[in-house]
Amino acid sequence: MVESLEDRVIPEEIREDAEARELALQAWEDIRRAANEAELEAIRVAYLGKKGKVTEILQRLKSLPAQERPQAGKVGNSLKKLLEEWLGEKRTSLERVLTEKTLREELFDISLPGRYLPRGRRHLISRTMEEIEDVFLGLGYEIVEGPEAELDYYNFQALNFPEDHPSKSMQDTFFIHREGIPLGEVILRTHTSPVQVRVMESRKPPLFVISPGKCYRSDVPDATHSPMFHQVEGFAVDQGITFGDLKGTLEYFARAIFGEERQVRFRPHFFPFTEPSAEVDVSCFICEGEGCRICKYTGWLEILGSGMIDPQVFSYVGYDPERYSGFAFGMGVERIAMLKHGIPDLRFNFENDLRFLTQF
Amino acid sequence: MKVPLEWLKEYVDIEMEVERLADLLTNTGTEVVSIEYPGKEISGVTIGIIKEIHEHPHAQNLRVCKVDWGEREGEIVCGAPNIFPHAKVAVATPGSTLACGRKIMEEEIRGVKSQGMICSGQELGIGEEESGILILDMDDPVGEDFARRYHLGEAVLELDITPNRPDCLSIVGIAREIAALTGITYRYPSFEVEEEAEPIDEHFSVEILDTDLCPRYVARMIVGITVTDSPLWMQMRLKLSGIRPLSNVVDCTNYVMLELGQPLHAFDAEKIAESRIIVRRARRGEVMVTLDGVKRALGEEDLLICDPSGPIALAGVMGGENTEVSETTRKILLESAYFSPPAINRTSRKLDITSEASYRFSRGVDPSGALMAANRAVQLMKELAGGMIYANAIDQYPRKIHPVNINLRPMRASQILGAEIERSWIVSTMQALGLKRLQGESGGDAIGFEVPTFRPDLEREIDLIEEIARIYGYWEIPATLPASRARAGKLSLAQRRKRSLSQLLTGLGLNEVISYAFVSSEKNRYFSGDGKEIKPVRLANPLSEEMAEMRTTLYPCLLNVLVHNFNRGIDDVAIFEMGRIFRERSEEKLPEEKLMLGIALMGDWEPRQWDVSARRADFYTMKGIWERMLEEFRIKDGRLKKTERSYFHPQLAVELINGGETLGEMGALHPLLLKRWELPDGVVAMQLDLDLFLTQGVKEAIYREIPKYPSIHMDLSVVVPEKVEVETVIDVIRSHAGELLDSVRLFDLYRGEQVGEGYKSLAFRLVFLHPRRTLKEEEAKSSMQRILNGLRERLDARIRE
Repeated sequence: MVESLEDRVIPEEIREDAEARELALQAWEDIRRAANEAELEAIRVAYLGKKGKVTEILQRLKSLPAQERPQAGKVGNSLKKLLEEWLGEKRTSLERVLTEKTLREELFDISLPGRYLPRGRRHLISRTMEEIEDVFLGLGYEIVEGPEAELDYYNFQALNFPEDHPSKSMQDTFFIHREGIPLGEVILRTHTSPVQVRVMESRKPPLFVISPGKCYRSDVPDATHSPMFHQVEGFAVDQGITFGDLKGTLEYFARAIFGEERQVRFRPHFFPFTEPSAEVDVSCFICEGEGCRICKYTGWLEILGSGMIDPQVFSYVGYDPERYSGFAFGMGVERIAMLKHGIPDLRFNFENDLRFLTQF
Repeated sequence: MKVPLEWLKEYVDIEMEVERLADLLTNTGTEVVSIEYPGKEISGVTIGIIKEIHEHPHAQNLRVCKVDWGEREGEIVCGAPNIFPHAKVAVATPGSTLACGRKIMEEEIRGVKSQGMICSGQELGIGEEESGILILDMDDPVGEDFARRYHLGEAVLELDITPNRPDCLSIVGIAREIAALTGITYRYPSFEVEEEAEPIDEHFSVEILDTDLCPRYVARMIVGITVTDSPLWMQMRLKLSGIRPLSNVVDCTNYVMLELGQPLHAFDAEKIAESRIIVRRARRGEVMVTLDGVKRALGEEDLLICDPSGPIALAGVMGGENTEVSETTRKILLESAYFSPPAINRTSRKLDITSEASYRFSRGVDPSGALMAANRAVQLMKELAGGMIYANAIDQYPRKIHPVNINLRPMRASQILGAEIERSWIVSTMQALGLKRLQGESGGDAIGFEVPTFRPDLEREIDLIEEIARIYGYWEIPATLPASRARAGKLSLAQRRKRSLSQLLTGLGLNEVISYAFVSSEKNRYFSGDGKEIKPVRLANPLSEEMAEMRTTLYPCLLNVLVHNFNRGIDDVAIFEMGRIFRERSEEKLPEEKLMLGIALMGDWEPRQWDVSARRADFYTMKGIWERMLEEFRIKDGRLKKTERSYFHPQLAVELINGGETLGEMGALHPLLLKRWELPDGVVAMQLDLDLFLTQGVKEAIYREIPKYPSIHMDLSVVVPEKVEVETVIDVIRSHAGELLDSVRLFDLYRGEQVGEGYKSLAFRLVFLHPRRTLKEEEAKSSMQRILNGLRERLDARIRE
């Protein structure tokens, strides 16, 4: 409520009527002073109650001569309206003050902990795998999974691993004991690449597929070895797929995962099922290529293996290598996750210690 | 493989910086893993000669040597037993630094001033712990810097050679590769064999019985040798390459193997019966003792070098103890052969022996190089060990390995690589790699090449295209994206739902875990108690008994996680795992694999807070999770069916059903089982077949009209006997309510004095709704009345007012 009457518009009829003016000024003063709801009510009664001063003026109208009545009535009603308005304003004002006071009196401790809400975490490996999947989904790939217990045929033979060649012993294999089947025919897959063969065997190009999943090698667990780990395999087969396409695709991938500013390097390598083959490095994001312990002072981090699908693999699945070409790649999910998050020991991924799991 | 740069430079003139060389090799497929500079700390160590040796006046085990190291003479106190007058030694002069970084100063040793130190091999970073000092060659010049003379502090490259490139497993091979990459020329070692004795074939014979496994066998012989240490320069090169020097004869074979890539074996020729070698397969059950003293059981797939009395070497893998070169050996038969790579690989894998020789043979050595290597080695032996070389070599080559011819279409290369490669560049590059261009015959666009025998990896056109790409430079090929037919990347329904299920569960507070899929047989057996026998998948070569089988359920894995955390003071654990389980089945070649969801809850579901008490996770928590999962995929008919499992609480065990199909199970784990795992009581677990679950329910939700008219809520409180299940009560309510009842929800369960023993009080909130108009209160009330009557009649229920 505005405290000064000077800012108030008092209707002309009241200003020109001495009694009314006096009454208004007095009422203003009374209302202004009212300290609480009760006092205000008393004031209302004193002016607008049955025996109130304003009510009295209005009641007097009857006794006035007829020609004075309209003017006097106008003054009286105007006065009543004015006081009601002032009372209303004051009431709102008192309420606000009171509420404010109550709110300020109650004690709160905002440093009390927030209420418990459930929170769980995806496993770091799942999250990383999904991140990788999403890059390729964006490039138009689909996801196909294959069995973890696999035939030697799909894991090695159809991928052009020669029997009795050292390239096969690069991967130490778990054999599954099965009645009536020669030992070595059923194994735990050592990589996700057999899915390539399975998909190509059952479908025709164009194929743009990634295949995430678990793989197994008979390595005793230590900081850098694990008998179980995850890979994401990918391959593209169509007419006219080139090594340049492999480069473009994997450069795009590497930058999507490790940052736009990364350098990507393709190094010739050897895999039985691709030719030419390439290992892919990204510039070390820990030392920015300066050389550090993580990149073994090379400035580069190896992140995946790749290459053009060997014509021999195509002939196993009945594709004409003169008509179709394609590239394939495979990466270790743990390695990527561990590089990105600075995890020193591979075993942490499978110990499932909540103090580890909830960090990511 | 380790390559000392100094040695490499003998065969190729390398001008560029070693770092640039390393980059070039790495970028063309010969990965340089590291560049080291052994002995780079050494400075000021000088070649000196011991002039005189005197007793130390105050110490019995020390002597005082007068040493001349060129610029001056000095007295040095030395404790080594192997010093002798006129020995050439490495002198750490005052102010010099040893390999370990230690500085040598003049110092007094028990009262005698020592003006430096005479060094051992270890102090120079080139030897193991030996008691003696390093004795240098007699012709080493006094006063020359030791490190410079022996190339210490120079680069040694460690290379990672891929299994397809056996030609790079030698110094000359690397020189040849560098030559091809840079266009400079390389050279072989130059030598001449000085033959003095009679022709070898008058004294020795070789017979190959299995020409498949041994296509070529070259032998040379030398007599009158003296077995001793090889000269220091050779020892140094071997050590820097990672091979331990043994004796001049054996060192020569290793040296030539490193140099040319051809493994060689030296037999003590006088121990070979009848001077006759027979190359044959082992007989079943045959045994032999190899150089390392181990008795080896052999089979018909193993190739042997024999004399008429029996095996004398395991071909290509390791020599035999019975013909080993010793200090008294005078006559050497030197073997330089080509063995079938798969055969050597098989034997070395089977017997778990990897030697430098088997490593090379199993990748494929150059069959054309056998004779040259034998010549080189026998001449070196003569130079280092004396003796006379028999004239000629025995060279049995019954199965000649011919060079392969390949037609290459330059257009094809460009198509595969996505870069225009010029024909003339291709021809010159192939020639630099040692391929011969063939004239004529190759039709059309193609160019014919003959591949040298040292490149067994080049068999097909694509192999040559790889060579083109490698030398052209992967970095030169422009990066593109496949200009392929349009396609959309997309998740399948199950893949999408698997993701959203993970989101749901983590949102509910569960942490995802990933476990090894192997468990012990015992742990698998704990969870096969549902009547049906589950046959586990067994590994033939498990890492341990703890990892002997593939999991048949997710439970052992989940419990392992609970135990791991519980033992570390983490008592409240809510976890889930999505992973495959494996079961034996006879009808298929591959075992059965199913993608499962497993959940386990232990301890508090909600912790105690400052104004709320803690809430334990229990069966009903798990049921709540199940209900949220049903809701997530809008599955309407999901329900529980009581069941029995040996590992669950006899009452709190249910199957998870949808539309008559069992999708999984859940329950409170049996207290006795938990005790065996040393886990606290009250753990609940669920296992669900995701292959089934993820495709159930409503795939695309269809819009239903939102009620326009107000509903009426009424509460109902009813007392029933304890044994009456809530579901039964709700069924009765629903069946008597008529069409206006929209939903029923239990909101209170009370047991106590007020309802009497054997009874419980249930309170429900009922919502009534008319779909097309405002419902009248009387209509709801009359429906309620029917419900009350129904409950009284059917369940003998008391209604609480």
